[in-house]
Amino acid sequence: MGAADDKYSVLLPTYNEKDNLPIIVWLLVKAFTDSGYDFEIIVIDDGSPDGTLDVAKQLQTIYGDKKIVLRPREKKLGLGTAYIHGIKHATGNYVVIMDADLSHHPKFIHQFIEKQKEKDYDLVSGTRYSGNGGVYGWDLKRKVISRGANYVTQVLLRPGASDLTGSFRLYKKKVLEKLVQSCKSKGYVFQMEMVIRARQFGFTIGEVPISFVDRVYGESKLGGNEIYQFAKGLLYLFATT
Amino acid sequence: MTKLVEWLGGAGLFAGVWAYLFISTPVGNSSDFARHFVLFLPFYVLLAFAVISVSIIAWRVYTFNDCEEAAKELKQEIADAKADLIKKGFKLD
Repeated sequence: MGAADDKYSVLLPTYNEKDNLPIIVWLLVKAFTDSGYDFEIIVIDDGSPDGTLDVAKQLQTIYGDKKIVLRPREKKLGLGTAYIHGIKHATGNYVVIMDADLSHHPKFIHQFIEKQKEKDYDLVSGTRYSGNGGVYGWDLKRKVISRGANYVTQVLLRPGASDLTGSFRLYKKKVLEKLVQSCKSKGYVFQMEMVIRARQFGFTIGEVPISFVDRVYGESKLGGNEIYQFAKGLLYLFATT
Repeated sequence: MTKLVEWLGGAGLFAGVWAYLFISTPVGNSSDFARHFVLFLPFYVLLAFAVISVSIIAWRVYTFNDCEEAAKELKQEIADAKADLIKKGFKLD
């Protein structure tokens, strides 16, 4: 398939993102219009009580139902199933997954695409931990936890990718389908398992440094429970892969 | 082979080499230092690993990029997006 036929489906799982959704969609449309690649944005809203879906409908009216595809679900059902649900309706041969909370900037997608084409990578992962990558809005404690957790993961799992818990990635659609089906974890660990399984299957991984700007609207979470879930997931992957 | 098995294998290999060194180090006044060193070798290895790990993490925290520019740029873009969306007929709360 030539570059001219390539189409990128962006999966946006949302839950109470009525403030962020219009901005992220606007930025996505701008980024893809500037780079000239064909795209669609699939909004998978899990029954947000704040009216995210109404906002999405307004955006669909503005940008058209070819560009904004709505695939809502009744209630919150988890990230893995959101991807499965989204892939089913994706018409592109590549899929971009990202957070809708503006921590992932669409301007990097162009670099993901270029990187993917460089060596026909099966997936390209954004990384906060190498090159010009970085974060905004993190205090020292958060940085120490993040770097510490990443170091332990690197030592124990040797994953061959520098950012395992990030969720800004580009996949070949078939690769994402296969990975989602074989990953059982939830939350942070789901993203880790996706990369670890990708290595197991022999998929190739490219990396692009990204700047991660922590939530502008709404609250970011990193508490004891997140750390516990992370440790549990890490040990699970350590013992089973 | 899982990572757990790999680590157990590595640990077993180390334990074997260490036991061999310990047994084959002669006992006597002249080699008290050598025997002492071998006895505490696992501890020294762990200590070295801990020091190296903490140094690496500290360095990475220190050099973790603060993306001030990206945040500033985003703020501007949010304002641009809102203005443009309203122009296109979008109703913000």
